[in-house]
Amino acid sequence: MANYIINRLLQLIPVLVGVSLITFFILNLAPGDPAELMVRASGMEPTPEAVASMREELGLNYPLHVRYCLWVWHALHGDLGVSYHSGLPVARELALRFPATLQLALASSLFMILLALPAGLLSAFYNRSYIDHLSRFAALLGASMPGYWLGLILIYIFGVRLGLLPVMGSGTIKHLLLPAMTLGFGLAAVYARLLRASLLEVMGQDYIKAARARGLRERRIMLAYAFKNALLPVVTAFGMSLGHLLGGMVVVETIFSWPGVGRLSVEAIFARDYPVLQGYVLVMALVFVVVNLLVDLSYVLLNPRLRIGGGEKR
Amino acid sequence: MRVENIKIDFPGKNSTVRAVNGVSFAIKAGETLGIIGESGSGKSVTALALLGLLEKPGRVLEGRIIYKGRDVLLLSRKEKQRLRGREMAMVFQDPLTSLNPVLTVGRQLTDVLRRHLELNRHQTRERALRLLQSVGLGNHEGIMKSFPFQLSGGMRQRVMLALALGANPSLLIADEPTTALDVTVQAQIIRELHRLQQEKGMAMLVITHNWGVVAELADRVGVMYNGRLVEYGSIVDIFNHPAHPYTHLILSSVPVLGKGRKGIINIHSPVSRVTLNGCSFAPRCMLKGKHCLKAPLSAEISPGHFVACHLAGIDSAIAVERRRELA
Repeated sequence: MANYIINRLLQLIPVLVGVSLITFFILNLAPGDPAELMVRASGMEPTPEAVASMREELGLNYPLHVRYCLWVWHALHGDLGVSYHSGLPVARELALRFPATLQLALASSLFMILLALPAGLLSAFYNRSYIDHLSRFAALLGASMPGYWLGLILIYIFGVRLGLLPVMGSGTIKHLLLPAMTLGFGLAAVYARLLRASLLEVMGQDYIKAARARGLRERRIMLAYAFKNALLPVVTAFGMSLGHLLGGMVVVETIFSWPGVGRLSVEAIFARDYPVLQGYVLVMALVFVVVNLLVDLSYVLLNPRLRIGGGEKR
Repeated sequence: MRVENIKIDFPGKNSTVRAVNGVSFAIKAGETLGIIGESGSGKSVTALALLGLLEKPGRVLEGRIIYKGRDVLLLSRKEKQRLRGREMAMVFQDPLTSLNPVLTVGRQLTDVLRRHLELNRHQTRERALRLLQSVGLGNHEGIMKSFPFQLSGGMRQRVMLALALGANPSLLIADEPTTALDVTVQAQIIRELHRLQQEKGMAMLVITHNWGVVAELADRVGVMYNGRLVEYGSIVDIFNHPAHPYTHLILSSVPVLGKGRKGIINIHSPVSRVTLNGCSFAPRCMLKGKHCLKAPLSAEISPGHFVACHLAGIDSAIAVERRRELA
């Protein structure tokens, strides 16, 4: 087990190198010159001389590969550079914004679980009944509504019309509700459907028929015998679609002015703030790999075959 | 347990398949009935119907399943649930797929006991351990904690037996209990079944396509073909005086050491439609004649020995002659 975890953590190295390399070069393909933007931002006329000296100041006068090597060298020493925009160290900037993102991610995951588990279970238990149809319709709706649209609709209903919830900023639980719902609903739709399909498949297995033949109650069969088995593919899918969650965070944070790293990255893109963006991508890749590892570890907990190792016979 | 003339249909989009077409039999306490037949002959469907576990769209069209004086088919869902496991239990063909892969043996075992018996935690555990011991599983503390994938095929089937016997059912249905096992393990499981039945005085219904299993366990035998019991009698009747051509055929298809097989059956198995006329075995029968266009009724050719064939019983002389001609 420990070996497995160490192995997985070692895999982080190539992932991080690859991710940073790709973003570094793609960023430089984007039109717009950060030096020129910086000069303009400071209220000066972007004369060629001013831009050139700014470029030198930012270290942009070196060739691309040199800049990458320099960046890696500094990053290895824990220095992710300084934001062009705010002048703060990138690491500090990210550390300031990260808790808000984490809070939102946890809240929307919680919302997702609270919605997807009952919906999936009820849908499978009352297969083809009106409850099932209702839940599947809701799931279809949730899966086909893009996050930014749902976010705006929720803002309109709860914020503008009813005036119940604040539509931007953070700080209280109330602030958390709308963004968490926006993110959680779309996710819940996907997982409720997946859980339903998985449960129905498991309910057709021989061991379910055998449990029925022993006179166990349907509800118990569903919850104790089918649920754990049905969760396996759902957990796998969750690990794989984590990227969607991170992508969705960027959109939702922007819509609700949530002060997380997602919005930071959008701001950085507009300002061509290369160091911040590089830092964001690096941290997200790290989060992605670590969360995926956690998902895989929970998979091991669910599946005794992995926990006890191989199909060995006693 | 008495089964009277049950018919089971599986309605499809364009046609309805009649899986079981008028099957009747009876099993008394302490007695074993073996039902033998090829794949698709309706054996397993019959067994599932007894437990009220037919899967949709299958349904029992007519007939009665009388268990201890009550018709199982008329019971409510809850009553049927109570019956399963408590009164009738079933052992399935493949013990690996019939055990839940993510729950321990102990968990699955105590679940049945808690469902059917009024026992406290400690008593449940005690009983679970005794059960494992009674089915011949040695290290039972360890087995309680194991997952099915950690056990061998024979151990798994023993666990299935323990699960089935948990609440002391009075009827045990074993659906091909040895098919998925090694030959040596098959023999052990059959011995175990026999011993447990003797000990508990259960009635047993054994479904198989293996004459060996029938010979070892059954007191009476029903030969099933295409949804019908074509022959039904004591084990002596069936082995020594088989009367139906199908019984003849499948008995002679058993390879004899040093001699090989005598009879070989067309692999082609017919799918029964509701609109089938005449004897359903006729298309594969070596002895078929013009009378076979009419469906044969089951006739008692000697006490307790029923055969559904025009050539059996009174006409058996003709049958013997035809057989001689064909040989």
